[in-house]
Amino acid sequence: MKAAWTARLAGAAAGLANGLFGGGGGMVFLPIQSRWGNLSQRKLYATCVGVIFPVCLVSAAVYLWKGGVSLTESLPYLAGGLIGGFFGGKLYGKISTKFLKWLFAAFLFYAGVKYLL
Amino acid sequence: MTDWIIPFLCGLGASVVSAWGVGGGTLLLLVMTLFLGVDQRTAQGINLLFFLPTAASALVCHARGGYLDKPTLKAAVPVAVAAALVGAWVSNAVDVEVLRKPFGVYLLLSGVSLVWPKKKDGNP
Repeated sequence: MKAAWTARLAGAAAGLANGLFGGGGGMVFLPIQSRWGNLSQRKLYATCVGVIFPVCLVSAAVYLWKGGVSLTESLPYLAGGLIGGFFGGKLYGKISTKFLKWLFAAFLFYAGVKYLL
Repeated sequence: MTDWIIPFLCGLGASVVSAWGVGGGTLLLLVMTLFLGVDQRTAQGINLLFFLPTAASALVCHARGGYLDKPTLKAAVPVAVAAALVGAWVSNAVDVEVLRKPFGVYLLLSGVSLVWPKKKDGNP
């Protein structure tokens, strides 16, 4: 019972943030679930994608429908993304992500401050 | 020619990094708004679309491995989808400038969440 409420809360927060800001719902879902949920790390990450996928699907539909974005302007990014995903998978595990995580966190702080100013 | 090569390369780079679990779903968005001068709402929409093919292929892998937790999905997905509709609708209805500062706070929190020490490493 408690687990279901944790999941509902994490889902609601992640869905709202992801729809509002166009991404990053996983970074809302993961901490809530890992703090109060009881899933193993492996299951937690997989289930997170399982929640965020439908969330992004409906959000993207709203953005397209409301005219916030068009398919043509997204195409170059999507094409790059497909090829990048392939190489990313091949290189996975060969590069230290610990360093990259800190680098990305630093970038998030820089961007956050830029948005706030 | 040049107006698609930069977006193409950014998409490529972002997806390499997110395949390693680092991108966190906002890297491409920020590159677009901070460096490419893409309008905030458009960038958010592209970011959402961008995530779909990658996530779909990852999901197939996770489902095959039996790593999707059904009870959690059953509880979380309906609420999450409803909340996403509200969020996306609001985001497209209000002036984007209104969301600028909340987005900044969201980024700072995401940064903390990313490097926050993991409490326990459950069974793989």
